[in-house]
Amino acid sequence: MIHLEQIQKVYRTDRIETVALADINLHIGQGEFVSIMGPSGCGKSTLLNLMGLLDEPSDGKIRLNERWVESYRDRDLAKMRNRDIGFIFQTFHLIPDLKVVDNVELPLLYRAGTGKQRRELALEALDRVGLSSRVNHFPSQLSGGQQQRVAIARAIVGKPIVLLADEPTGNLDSQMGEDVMGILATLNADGTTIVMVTHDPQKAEQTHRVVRLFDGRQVQ
Amino acid sequence: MALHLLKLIWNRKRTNFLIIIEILLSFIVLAAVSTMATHYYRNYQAPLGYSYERIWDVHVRVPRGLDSTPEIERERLARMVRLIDATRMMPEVESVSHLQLGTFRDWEWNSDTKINGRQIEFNGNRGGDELAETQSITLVDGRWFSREDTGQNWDAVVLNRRMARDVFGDTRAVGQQIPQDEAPRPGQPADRPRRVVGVIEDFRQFGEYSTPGNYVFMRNDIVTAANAAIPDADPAAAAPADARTQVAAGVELPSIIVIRVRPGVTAEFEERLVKTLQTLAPDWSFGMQPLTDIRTSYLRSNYLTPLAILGLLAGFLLVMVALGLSGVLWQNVTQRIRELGLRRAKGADRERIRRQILGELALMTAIAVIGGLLLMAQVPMLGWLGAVPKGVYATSLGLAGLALFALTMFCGWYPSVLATRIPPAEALRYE
Ligand SMILES: Nc1ncnc2c1ncn2[C@@H]1O[C@H](COP(=O)(O)OP(=O)(O)O)[C@@H](O)[C@H]1O
Ligand SMILES: [Mg+2]
Repeated sequence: MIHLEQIQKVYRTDRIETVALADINLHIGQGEFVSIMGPSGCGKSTLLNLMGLLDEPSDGKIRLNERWVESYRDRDLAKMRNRDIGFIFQTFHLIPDLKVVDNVELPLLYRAGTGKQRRELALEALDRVGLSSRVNHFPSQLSGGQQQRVAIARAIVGKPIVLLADEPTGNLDSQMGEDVMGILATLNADGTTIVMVTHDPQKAEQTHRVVRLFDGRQVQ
Repeated sequence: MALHLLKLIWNRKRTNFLIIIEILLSFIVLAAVSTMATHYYRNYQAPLGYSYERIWDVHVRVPRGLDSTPEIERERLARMVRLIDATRMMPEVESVSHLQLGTFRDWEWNSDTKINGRQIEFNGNRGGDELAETQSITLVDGRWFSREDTGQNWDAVVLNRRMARDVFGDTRAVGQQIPQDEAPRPGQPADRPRRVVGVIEDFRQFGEYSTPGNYVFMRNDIVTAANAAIPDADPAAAAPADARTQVAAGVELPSIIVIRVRPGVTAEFEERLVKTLQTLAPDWSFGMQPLTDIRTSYLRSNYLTPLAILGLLAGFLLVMVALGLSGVLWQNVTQRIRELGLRRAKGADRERIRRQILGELALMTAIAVIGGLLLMAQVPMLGWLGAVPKGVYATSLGLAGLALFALTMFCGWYPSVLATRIPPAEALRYE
């Protein structure tokens, strides 16, 4: 599903070079639910962003859905992000000026389809996260947990092969965090591959496998 | 996608309203500046119709009492003829004629007349038979005034091209009489018919920045009028008005002697000529100046100085508008870098992001420009256009709209290029 080989990521700003990731080799199989753990600043988000093609590695190779990512041409990347990946962020990243349903439709705007199809898929996704009654609300009218559920609906609406979640419960209280974990577990049970960053051991326990990072390197 | 953008714009109406207002104000400033610029540029481009090189103007001032009688008038005309003849004898003079209202001066004979049911406005002047030659007036049809026009039962007139088209449309003006709608007032003699003998390109009396308009030249036949026999000065025999029409139909004492000198003539000639003229007419006074000097100072005080001030103001305004607008648009994009990062994370490529931003801006610009056009359309209706022709105004509004589109597109395009250059991961972290 996702295969990383000898991945390295170095951030260069003016004079400082930060080695965020070094020698990462990782395989994530179809249907897995993997959590990535480690202290703050160890490179978890960086790793997830590379898997989600939101950034380019400084070195190494990535295989996604049995295809090596060879050219980092913008248009190809955009297509893969749209088709294969569903991203969930710690801070939700909903567009405040769009209603819930319009936020969920967003990924579908960047592929073929009619407005009616988009609406149907969005409502279906909202139904799966239990938000059918909040379709015409604006994000500011929802609780944090509800907002993250909208973000999950937006991530799954395009039926991606993998969900990447960067501390999806990090901004939520424990009850709402549990709700979100429940939804992710259900999605995984239905066959969605999930990679989740967390620093909560309890949450990590609910997944199949834990990948630990320390200072940009995998530890066992 | 279009619907999505419309929703977004609508839901951000408060911010977008301010942007639209900013664009609208910019449009009004731009439209005003480009109207001015286009107007004066077009005026400047239009032919002047005559030459001012090597031309000297002699302004003749005649002390006028209340004692004007036909004899006195006739004597003055005769004296003017002698002055012109004396000028012609000078070896430096290539050609000489006379003009009632000099060029590059604010002397104006503005009138209107009803022709074929339409009110036609024009500026008029009276000129001598040699004037076309002296000032190299460009003829486009027919001929200038000449001796043939003496003793006819009509008065000769020359029109500029615009006036000829205005009155006669596509038919040839030369040889026709100017139709007259108004019947003579009771008790007054009927106006003599006016026949067009020639059409000139133009005679822009007020210079190259003035608005081109209709122009009519009347023949000022001072030679015939000066030699005409006056009927017995018996007050009972003829009323003065009648005498005047018979003796000197349409003839007036010219105030300008126009001279074209040979190349290389210096200011010393001016002194000599004025002395000669003074001898012939001791109680008249003469002001002689090269027309180029008159033109320079006239244009400076009437057009160039005010235009320079206006241009400076306009320049400042344009810079302010450009800075203000690009600031607002720039902010509009940079405030949304995270949103743009999100869209890319969800599958929008760079091209799409840029198109989205330009699309939004184009729509807002269109709204602002349409609003601006509605506002600016009131200007001609309120009669605030003054001398600016409606066509020029419409063109300028179009130009301003285009310029504004170019500006907003650039101001949206550049920050959107910057915003999409960074990887989406970074855009999403942008503060
Ligand atoms: N865009 C960036 N530019 C420079 N340094 C960065 C950037 N993003 C992350 N880093 C650095 O890389 C390291 C790993 O960051 P990150 O992956 O966000 O850690 P985590 O998510 O595990 O807290 C940190 O030291 C961080 O400061
Ligand atoms: Mg992180």
